[in-house]
Amino acid sequence: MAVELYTRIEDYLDGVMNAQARQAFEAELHADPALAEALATVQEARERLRRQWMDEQADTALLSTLYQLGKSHFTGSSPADKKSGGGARIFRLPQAWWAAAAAMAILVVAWFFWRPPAQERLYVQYRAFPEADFAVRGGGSAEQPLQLAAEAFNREDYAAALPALRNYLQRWPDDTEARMFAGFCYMELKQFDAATTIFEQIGGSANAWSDEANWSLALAYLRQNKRSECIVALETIAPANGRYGDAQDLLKRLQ
Amino acid sequence: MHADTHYIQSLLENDHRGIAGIYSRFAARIERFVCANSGTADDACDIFQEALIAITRQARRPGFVLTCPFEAYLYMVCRGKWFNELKRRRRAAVTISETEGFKEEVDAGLLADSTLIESERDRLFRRFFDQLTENCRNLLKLSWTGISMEEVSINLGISYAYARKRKSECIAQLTEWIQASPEFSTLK
Repeated sequence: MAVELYTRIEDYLDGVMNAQARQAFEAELHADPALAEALATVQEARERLRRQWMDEQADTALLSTLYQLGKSHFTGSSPADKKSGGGARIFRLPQAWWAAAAAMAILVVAWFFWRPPAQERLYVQYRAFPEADFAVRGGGSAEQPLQLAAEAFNREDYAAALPALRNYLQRWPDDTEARMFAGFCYMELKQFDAATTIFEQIGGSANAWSDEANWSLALAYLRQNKRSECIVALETIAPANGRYGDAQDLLKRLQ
Repeated sequence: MHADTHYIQSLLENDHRGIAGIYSRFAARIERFVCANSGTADDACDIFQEALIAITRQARRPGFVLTCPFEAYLYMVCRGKWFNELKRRRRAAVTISETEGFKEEVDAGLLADSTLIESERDRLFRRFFDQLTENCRNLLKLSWTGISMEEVSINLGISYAYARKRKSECIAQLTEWIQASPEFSTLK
């Protein structure tokens, strides 16, 4: 179905069509079952998702209660669990298993000595970049670097994505989304001054990326092992921020 | 309205004491049922929790009235959820014949069926919404929670025309995925 039809479906559901357009659209609905089905699906999606978003806080609070109570009422004391976990059975491992266990122990020791520093491990654990999806912004050759940047970013080739983003940003310096992705690239390439400047600017103003920017600023400090700056940045992340849960979790691990 | 409505009220109000009562009275029975049907105590804990969430969401809908004993309703929802879970795990020949004496509770069966369908359809729509790109999710969430497209475009730093076009593309993708899903037509 043509994308344009979804614009009309939305206008119809939002009640912004004039009487004439509405009448014409309703006639089309009667004549076209596929259009009627698309309308019903969009309407259902709007209602279900809206309700879920509205109830998110109440659901989280209820889940927390259920989780606490579940731990004390389902203790694994059922016959099935006793069967699998109870008793004092002694297992004897075959010799080949001992050899495998020894090899594993050597690997563990090696990993312990050569693993990345703690802050880098935490950074990798918490870093989760959104997918770059710079959809059509009006056509023209200006878009080309942006598409190249998105492809490079999504295959984690940040060194290739960054020049393309900078090229685009020379012409469109106010594109917040492109700046944000440039910030991600700088952070990945360990060019922290450039990354933190971008995150501070975006995080300090009201826009769709401010939540992500404030969280990314904390991650940039984390990766530089600037623990106290990281903690301050995490503490400024408000409960309404989509990254609040991650921020609280990381705070606990740092404190 | 059934006298057991106080259990529903406890869930709606997240009343810790009332919900603790639900666990004390009914958890052991559900654990026995799940463990007798290829599950563990951990599975039972998850199913019990999922069932209580599904019941709470159902009870928030306008017009909900509990017309049967809460225990029968809860048991039927847990039973259906465990059946679905076993199917998801692709266990061969999923058969749960046991109804623990609730067979004659027709109202409970009907209420549980509609609760399970609503819960699975919520899950289906959410699953496909979560598969959209972050841009799409932000755009739809803003515009579907009552913010005008003019405000959405300002909020996202994009033009009004582009916001409208992009929104239609996102909805087209979401609708296509949902309608192509086999569960969409079976969960009715």
